[in-house]
Amino acid sequence: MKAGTMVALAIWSLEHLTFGCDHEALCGDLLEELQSGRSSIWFWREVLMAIGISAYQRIYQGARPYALPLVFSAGWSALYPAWRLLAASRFSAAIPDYRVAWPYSSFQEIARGVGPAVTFVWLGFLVFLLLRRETISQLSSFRLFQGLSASLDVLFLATLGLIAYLRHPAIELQSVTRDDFYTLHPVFGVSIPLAASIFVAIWFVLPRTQRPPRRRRLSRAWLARTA
Amino acid sequence: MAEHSYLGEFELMILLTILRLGDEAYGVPLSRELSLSRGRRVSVGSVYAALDRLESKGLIASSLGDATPERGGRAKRYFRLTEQGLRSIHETRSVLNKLWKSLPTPEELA
Repeated sequence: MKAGTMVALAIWSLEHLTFGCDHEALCGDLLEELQSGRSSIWFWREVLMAIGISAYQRIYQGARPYALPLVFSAGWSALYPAWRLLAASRFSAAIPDYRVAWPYSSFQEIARGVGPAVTFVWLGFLVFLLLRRETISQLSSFRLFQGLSASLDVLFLATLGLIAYLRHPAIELQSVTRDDFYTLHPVFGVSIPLAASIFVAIWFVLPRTQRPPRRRRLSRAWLARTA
Repeated sequence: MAEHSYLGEFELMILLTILRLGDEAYGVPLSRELSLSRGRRVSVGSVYAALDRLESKGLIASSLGDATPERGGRAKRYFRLTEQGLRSIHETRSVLNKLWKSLPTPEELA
């Protein structure tokens, strides 16, 4: 492979594998060093180092805003047994018991089983918003709707997944009304479906980061000079 | 009590090197000077990572120079210390000086 192609490949890697960081000046510095006599191995080593550092920073900075919502979601979901004990039975009793034929009776089953869990998730979401008031100030009604809707989707998917897992291949809706349905197979006392549902709701209302600017390509004239 | 943010070793070395280089403080000379001072290779990428961090803290400021052909048409990014950066160096030195005073000599340890 020609030296020019090697350099172009390294620059391409730097521009595309540094996860959106603006490395215009860094690229220029490395090219300047290459022109002053550094080897292409040195160039590649520097590029790989920069990619590695950028990836580490990206992971560290990217994960940090989600750490608190994740811990909150896990902690809140661990309170679900207490919620079932204190409020869920009242909640189920509040749903009118109409005698309806199938498939409409399924909606009653779902409402009795999922209703308390949805209320619990949305209550957790509300508590998080009240604790993080700066999030509320940047919140639009559309994003709030997205958060609530997505949490519902995740909870329904988790419900269907759990039913399918427990009663495969026949799906039985009645298992949703079991007291321990959302706390089956917990990890360290944390209900995964509930925690995932709360986390998704919070994730939708977290402030978004801006996209980085576009980068400039290396000119053909420069590559011809290097080759 | 006022809240202070003291500098780490590498950050402090970068700030002092920027001061030493003056108007020529950009990636390549910074990396070279730091390699000489530390006695081991310092990658340009790690210097830029620290510079970005220092700039986000408001301790340094950067400006773009002219694009040159040997840099593939890319501009140099020059760095300079801000007033806050200089204050931060003095505060860190003051704290380190206090701590150095309690350092025993080898004779005292023996």
